[in-house]
Amino acid sequence: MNRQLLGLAGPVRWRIVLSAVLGLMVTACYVLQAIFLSFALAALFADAHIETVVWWIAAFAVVVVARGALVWLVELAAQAIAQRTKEHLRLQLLSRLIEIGPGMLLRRQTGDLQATIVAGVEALESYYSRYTPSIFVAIFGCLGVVACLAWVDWMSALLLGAFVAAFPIADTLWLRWRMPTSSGIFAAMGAFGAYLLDSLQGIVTLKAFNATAARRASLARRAADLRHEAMTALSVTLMRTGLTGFITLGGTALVLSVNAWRVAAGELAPVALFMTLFLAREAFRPLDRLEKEFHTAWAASGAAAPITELLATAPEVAEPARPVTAPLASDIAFEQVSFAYGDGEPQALSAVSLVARENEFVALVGPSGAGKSTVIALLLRFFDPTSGCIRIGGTDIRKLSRETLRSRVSVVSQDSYLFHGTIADNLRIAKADATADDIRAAAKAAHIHDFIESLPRGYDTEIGERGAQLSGGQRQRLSIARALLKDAPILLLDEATSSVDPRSEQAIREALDVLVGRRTTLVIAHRLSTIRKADRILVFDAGRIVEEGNHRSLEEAGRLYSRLMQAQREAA
Amino acid sequence: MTDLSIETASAPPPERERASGLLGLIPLVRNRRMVLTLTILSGILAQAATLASLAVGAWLVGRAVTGTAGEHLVPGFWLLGALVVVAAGARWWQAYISHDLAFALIETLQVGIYDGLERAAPGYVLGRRTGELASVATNDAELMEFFYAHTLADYVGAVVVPLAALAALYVIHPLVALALLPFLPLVASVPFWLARRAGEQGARVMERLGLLNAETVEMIQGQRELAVFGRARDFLDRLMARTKALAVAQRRYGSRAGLEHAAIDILTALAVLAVALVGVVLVARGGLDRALFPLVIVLAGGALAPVVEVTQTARKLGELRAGAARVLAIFHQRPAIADRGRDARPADTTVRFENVGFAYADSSRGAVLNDVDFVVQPGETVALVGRSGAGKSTCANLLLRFWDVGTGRISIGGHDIRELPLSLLRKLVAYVPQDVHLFNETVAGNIRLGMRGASLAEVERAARLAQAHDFIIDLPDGYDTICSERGARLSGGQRQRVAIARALLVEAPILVLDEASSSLDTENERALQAAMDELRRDRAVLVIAHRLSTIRSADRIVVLDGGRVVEEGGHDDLLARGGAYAGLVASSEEFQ
Repeated sequence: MNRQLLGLAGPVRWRIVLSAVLGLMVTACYVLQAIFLSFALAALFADAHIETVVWWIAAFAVVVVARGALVWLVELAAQAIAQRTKEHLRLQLLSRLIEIGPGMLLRRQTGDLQATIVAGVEALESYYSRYTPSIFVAIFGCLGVVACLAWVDWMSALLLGAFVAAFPIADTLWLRWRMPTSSGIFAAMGAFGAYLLDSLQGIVTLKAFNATAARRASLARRAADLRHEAMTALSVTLMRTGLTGFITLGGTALVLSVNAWRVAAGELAPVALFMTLFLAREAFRPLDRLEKEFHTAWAASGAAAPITELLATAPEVAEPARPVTAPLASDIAFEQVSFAYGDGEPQALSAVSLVARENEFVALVGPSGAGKSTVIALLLRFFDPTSGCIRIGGTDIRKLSRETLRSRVSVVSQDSYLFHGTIADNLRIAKADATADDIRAAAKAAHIHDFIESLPRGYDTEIGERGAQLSGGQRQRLSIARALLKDAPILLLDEATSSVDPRSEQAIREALDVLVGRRTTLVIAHRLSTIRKADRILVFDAGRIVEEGNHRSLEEAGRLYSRLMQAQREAA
Repeated sequence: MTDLSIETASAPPPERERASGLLGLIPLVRNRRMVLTLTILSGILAQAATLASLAVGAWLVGRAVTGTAGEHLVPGFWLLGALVVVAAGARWWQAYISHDLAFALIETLQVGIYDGLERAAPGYVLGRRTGELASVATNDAELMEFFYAHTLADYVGAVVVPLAALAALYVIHPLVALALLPFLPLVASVPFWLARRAGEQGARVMERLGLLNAETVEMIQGQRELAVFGRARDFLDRLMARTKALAVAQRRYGSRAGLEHAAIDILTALAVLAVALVGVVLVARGGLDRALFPLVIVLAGGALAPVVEVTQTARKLGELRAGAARVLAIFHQRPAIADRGRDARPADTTVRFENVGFAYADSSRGAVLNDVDFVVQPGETVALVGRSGAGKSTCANLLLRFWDVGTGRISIGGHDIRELPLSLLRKLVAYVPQDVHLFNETVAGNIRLGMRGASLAEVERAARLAQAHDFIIDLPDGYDTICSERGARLSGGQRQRVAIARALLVEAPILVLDEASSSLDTENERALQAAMDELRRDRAVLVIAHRLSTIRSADRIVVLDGGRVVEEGGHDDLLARGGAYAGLVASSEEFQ
């Protein structure tokens, strides 16, 4: 049993017990079947009336039907455990994900998280629904079978019991001895699979560079190496199968032989021999079952680590114990703010101080990686600064609840995420109770209404995954419409870097004019036209503000800003 | 942005006439026939020896109870011991040999899939692009491995062992064999009783699992929006509803599977019951030796065990068959071109498309290119422009000789490219694809792709020219940094520049550039522009252009529409002409 896995078990403890009890009842049925069959045989050999024999066989039939029903119930119980476990784990994982916040996405890959939450939970389920109950069944079932035999003849029970006990002991010892190498094989197989996938996905590139033959040779060599390594390691590991087979069959054979001898010598009643014949197999059945479930559980133990890790991940920011009410003003102040994305990572911001007065329009400019996006991430409290303090309307944002803080801020960005669903659904994200008129008004103001109306289904048009059918300019305008619907006093704008066509650009500019000026606005700006309009420009470089001023004064200064602008004019 | 025009590039081979399904795969593994045979043999031996040891035990019991003296039982004891050793040994052997087969099949099948897809790329196989098919195909191959290595022997055993048991019972008494007979097909058929419902339920589970997956991805990727708009809780509720819906589907599926399980269980026991009743009657009438009665019971029980074993996997056979068909289709991909050219390297490297026509193998969609005629001189950059599906990518694919032209010809320095050896053509034409693939190797290894022997100095030179050197040396291990899966460690612009370095290293005089349509920030854009300028020097460059800045800087623009060249000239000329090009520039929000 794995402590980590047990720790993850949800409120299913009693269900597991129930499942184990049902499993034990199935074993009991097998035992009863064996007993009734033995009695039938004993009656037959004792020359009893044929009716007696048939009665025992009839009893056998009743048990068979009962067992069938129980087998079905066991399956239902397993399903119930599985569903409950999955619901419990997913709820925990998803809640944790929300608490950790969007900052985490900057550190982990979407694919990993998705695999943990969906496939990981699916894999883990069998540990609770199948493996754990089968452990109980194995322990108590085997004991019960041996006890039944002891009731008839303690010597056979002792002998059989020794073999039954040897089975798990030998298995465990063998696994302890050999397990590490065989898990090494799984890693090697995974590596080979990844190499193959990489080759297949890049096959056009390989062809274009005349490199297919070399890659194929390396692929074939890796496959041959894998086979050789795996078989060397497995030759010993797989002996286990022979060993457990030997214990099962050998134990049965030995007890049978000894008892046959004793019956021949007149030391044992025939019924005891019949019971040995039929019960010996039942004594090993729960162990075989456990062995099978063990393989499934093995896969589950791999899923446990990432799940535990995700659950143990501390949220990026802590919710205040007693949040204060929302500030009335909406000016922004950064006071000596420093931040690094991780230990040992370079500082994304070092001791940055800045102020944006209420309804001021401030542009952030600088090369990529200079810290502009970090300013926005910190302001939204996806992370907390390592030192320093951020205030809105004079209130430290750490004293606000996340909900209050985020309700004061709108974000427009070039990679704004669009959800699967209609355009209207995506706009309504910003304001759940928006009427159709509200939505149209926002779209009109964002200069996207005409485009939406030109679509075959208008506002009910479905957007593909990640809004694939929309151009960058259109997505940005949708994002603006969302911000208009939300109508928050602070606007954070991450301007698109892509070259949108002049028409789209014009539309975006006009849409922004509606937003800007009535709100405190921070813009990560790339376009000269936007920058020129700014009340103030802050130039970032390597996590610091290196220049500050308006367009003309900065151009005249002839430093980083003027160089950046020069580069921009060249590229355009 | 997918160029739909290369869909159905090579039509999937007609599947009906091929020996479809699992048996059709056997010729593919012919070089593994020996180990395959041994696997099956070991499986039969293991199951037969197990049943035999149980039978001998039962026979001994019968003899002992009917008064045989102890010493007469001794040979039976030895036989039993020997059978136990054989059965245990056979199990080990089966485990070993079947794993050996599995790993042998990895070699054969996976490498075979690589070969098949290599012949087909970049065309479509089974309606999917080769890259998309990769994970499906490798999954299929794993299914096949599992089938051959771990299931096939069980199936053969499930036929052989019951028949052997039946034969033994027949020898004992024909009537007991007859009593068992109906149960064999009955047990084997259980998985098919509710096969249709099972299929539907299985499909529903997969569908709901897919939905849950998709929405989980949405929640993760859209987390920032959900947080900013305060909607995370709503989304969580939605996901939990999805989880519950999945649970309902899974419960239905499991409940039915449990029912089948129970039915198989009951039938197996009823078989023993029927045989026992017939046996009792026969013993009472004196038609059957009482001493053989335990043996009859054990044989009846043991005969069905291998069948029960395979019923667990029977339902997967449909899935296996579908997988086998896909693997076969990939194996049977024919090479798109024949590499028979012998001409020497041409001195001149002018590229000419001369009345080129092209249509895909299944001609249902008509010609993709018609009478396409243009020239790219050394030192000249020609931009191919047109709507998605106009035939731009096809032009590139034809010049790279992924396929051959249908009519007309493409020549380099006057030599038809079909007359050039493929390896030479690849040295003449370098390629920067739209969707750059970086292998999960070092940066240096990735740049070296087209020239494996290149020294580090040469690699660095190419990287410098491609404006990639500076960011590469800033990576944790410089040129030895592993690019990680699909080059995820690098940004889009950086990957483009590595791809350009890769193309520069080959020092090919001709370059095909499929420009990325995604946006880059100003710095990356500028670096890329500088790298491009480097590339264009002295080379004949054919660029599939998406960006206005690229198109403007080209020496000439060739406008394609519906597979034909409709206009040709400089940007300003074409714009002034007010024709197709001008329409294209005005109509599309962003260039296709």
